[in-house]
Amino acid sequence: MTTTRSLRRVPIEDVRSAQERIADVTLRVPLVRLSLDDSESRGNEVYLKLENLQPSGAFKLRGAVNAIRLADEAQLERGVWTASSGNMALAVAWAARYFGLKCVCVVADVSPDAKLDAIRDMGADIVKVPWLEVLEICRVHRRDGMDGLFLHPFSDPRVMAGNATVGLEIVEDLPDVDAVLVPYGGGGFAVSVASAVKALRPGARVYAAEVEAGPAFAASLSAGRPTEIEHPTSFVSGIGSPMVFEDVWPLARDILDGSVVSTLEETASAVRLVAQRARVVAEGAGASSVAGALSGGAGEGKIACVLSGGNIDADKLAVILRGGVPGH
Amino acid sequence: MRYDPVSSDEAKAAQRRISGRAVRTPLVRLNLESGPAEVFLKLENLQPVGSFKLRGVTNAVLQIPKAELTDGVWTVSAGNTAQALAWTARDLGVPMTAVVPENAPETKLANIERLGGSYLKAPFEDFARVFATRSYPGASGRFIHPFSDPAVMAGNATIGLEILEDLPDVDAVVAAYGGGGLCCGIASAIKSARPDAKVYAAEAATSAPLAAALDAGEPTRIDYSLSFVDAMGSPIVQPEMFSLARRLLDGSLVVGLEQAVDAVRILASRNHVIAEGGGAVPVAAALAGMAGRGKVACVVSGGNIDPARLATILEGGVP
Repeated sequence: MTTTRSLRRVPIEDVRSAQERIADVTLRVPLVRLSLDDSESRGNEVYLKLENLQPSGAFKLRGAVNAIRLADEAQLERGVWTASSGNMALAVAWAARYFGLKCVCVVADVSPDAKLDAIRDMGADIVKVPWLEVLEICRVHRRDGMDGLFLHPFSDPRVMAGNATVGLEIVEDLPDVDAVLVPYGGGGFAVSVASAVKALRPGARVYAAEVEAGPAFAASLSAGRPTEIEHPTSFVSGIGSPMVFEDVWPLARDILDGSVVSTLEETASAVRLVAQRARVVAEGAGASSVAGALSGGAGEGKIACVLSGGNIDADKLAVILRGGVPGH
Repeated sequence: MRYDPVSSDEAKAAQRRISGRAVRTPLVRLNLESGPAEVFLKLENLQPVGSFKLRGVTNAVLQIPKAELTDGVWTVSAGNTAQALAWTARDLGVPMTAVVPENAPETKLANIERLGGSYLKAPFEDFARVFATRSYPGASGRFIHPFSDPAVMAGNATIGLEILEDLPDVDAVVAAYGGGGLCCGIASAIKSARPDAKVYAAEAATSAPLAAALDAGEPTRIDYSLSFVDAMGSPIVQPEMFSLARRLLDGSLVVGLEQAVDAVRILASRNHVIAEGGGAVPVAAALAGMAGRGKVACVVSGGNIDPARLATILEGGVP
C-alpha cells in the first residue's frame, strides 16, 4: 500500500498567488444573500457563494487551472488526466480544451449522464470504472497505463491552493462572516477553504456539509478515527463516501469545526429553495451546505454556504421542483 | 409626457446611489460550444428579488426625501416591480402597497407579503388604467411607476454601464421589451458611449407590440395571447415610451414560444441559472442569429418562474 503524506494547511500567500494566476480563466463568482422569511432565517443571514456559475459548472475549475498553470511544459505535452465522480473531470476537460491539452478522465460509472455527456462534448476521453476504483486512484495517486500530468481532485497542493480562493473571496466579500459551510467529498476542498478562511478570520467557524448517504467524515469524527460506513447511491453524486482519506483526515479533524449532516429530503428542499429564491440550479452536493445552514447546524450569525456546483440531470431537477426526492 | 434618453451623468449617479443595495451582477459567457454569436449573459436574475426591477425602483425611492416616505410607497404590479418595491420598502422601513389585478396568482401575492408588502386587488380594467392615471383609491404614499419614470429608467441604465465596463467591445445588446423602460434605459447608456453598438428589443411572438408599432410607425393594437412569458407583453406599446424606443433601438427581435422555452432549458442546463420566459427571450434571439455575429450581451432580466412550469420545460415540454 502506498502511503501519502498528510495534507497541510494551504498558506494564505499561496492562495493569493493562485487567485491572480486563475483570474483570467475562472469567474470571481458573486456571494449573494439568500432571501429568507423570518421563520426560515431565525435571525441569521445566509449567503451563497455561487460556484455553479463557473464555466465548468463547479468550483473544481479553480484548482485545475492553478495546477495546470504551475506545471512544466514538458509534462503538459503528454496531456492531463484525472479520476473523478464528475465535477473534477468536467473541470479538467474544460481546462484542457482551453489550454489545448490532451485529456483523459477516469470517471465513476455512477456519474450522472449530464456530466458524462458534457465531458465528451469538451473533447476529453472517458474511461468508466467502478466508483471504488476511483476512490483507490485518489488514495494511491496513480493508475497503470495512464500518462501525463495527474490532477488529483483534492489532495494536491496546487489544486488545493486554487480551490482555497473560494474561502479568500468569501472573506473579501463578507469580512464579518461567522460561519462557512463547505460540501465534504474527498475533504480536500473543505480543508482548503477552511485554510483561507481561518487565516484571514481565525474566529470564523468552518463546517463540512455532508448528506445521510455516506457521511464518512461525521462518522469518523464520532469514532475519533477514520471509519468505514455504508455509502448508498443517491441523487447527491458529488459528495458522500464510504471512508475518509487518510492523508486528509488529520488536517480535516484539526481545522474543521464539525460536520453538518443533512437528510436527502432536506437536501432536495434546499435545491428547490435556491431555485426559487436565488434563481440558480444547484446539484445535490452544492445544496447540502444550504440545507445544513437552514437546519441550524452551523449555528448563528452570518453564514456563507459554498454552493459548490450545478451539474444535475434535468429529470432529477424536475422531480425536485415538483416537490419530490429523486430515487425515492 | 415625452422622454429623453437617460444622460450619462444620470446613469452614473444612479450607479452610485444603488451600489450596495442592488447586486452588481456578473456578465458570463453562455456555455454553448457552437452558435452564431459569442453570447454573454447579464445575470439580473441574481438580484435579491430575482429581477432587474430592483435597480430602477431603488434609484427612484432613494431620491425621495425621507420625510415624504412616511406614508409609504405604492406601485401597480403583481410581479417583479411589486417584489422589488416591497424589498426596498422593507429595507427602508416604510410601508408598501401593490395594486394587483384581481386574477393575480397566489404565489405572486404570497411573494409580496413575504417581503412585508401588502396588496389591493383591482378589476383588470381598473388595474390597467393606473399605469396612466397613477392613482388608485386606498393607495397612499408615493407612487413608483414600473417603467414610465425617468428615475426608474436611469436605474435600468446602470445595466448598460456595467455591460460596457465588463465587455467594452460589445457588438450588440439584447433586452426584453415589456414596458420599454429596460430597453430604453440600457440603450441610453450604451449609445452614449458606443454609438456604433446595436441595441435590440426582444419580444415573444405571442405578444410583440413593439415590432408591430415599429412596422406601422405608431403604436398599434395587436392580438395578444397570454403565455408563460408573462412578464412581457401587452396589446399595445405605451405611447410615451414608443418615440424614445424608436429613436434608441435598432429593432425588435421576435422569437417563437418554443425558442424561448429552449433558451430557458439551455440556461438551466449549461449555465445553471434559472430564467423566466421574458429573461430567456433575448438569449433565444441571439441563438437564432437575429442579433448578428460578434459579441452579443443578453440581459437575463429575471428568474421568477413557477417551479412546475420550469419542471415541464426541463422535461422537454412547453408550458
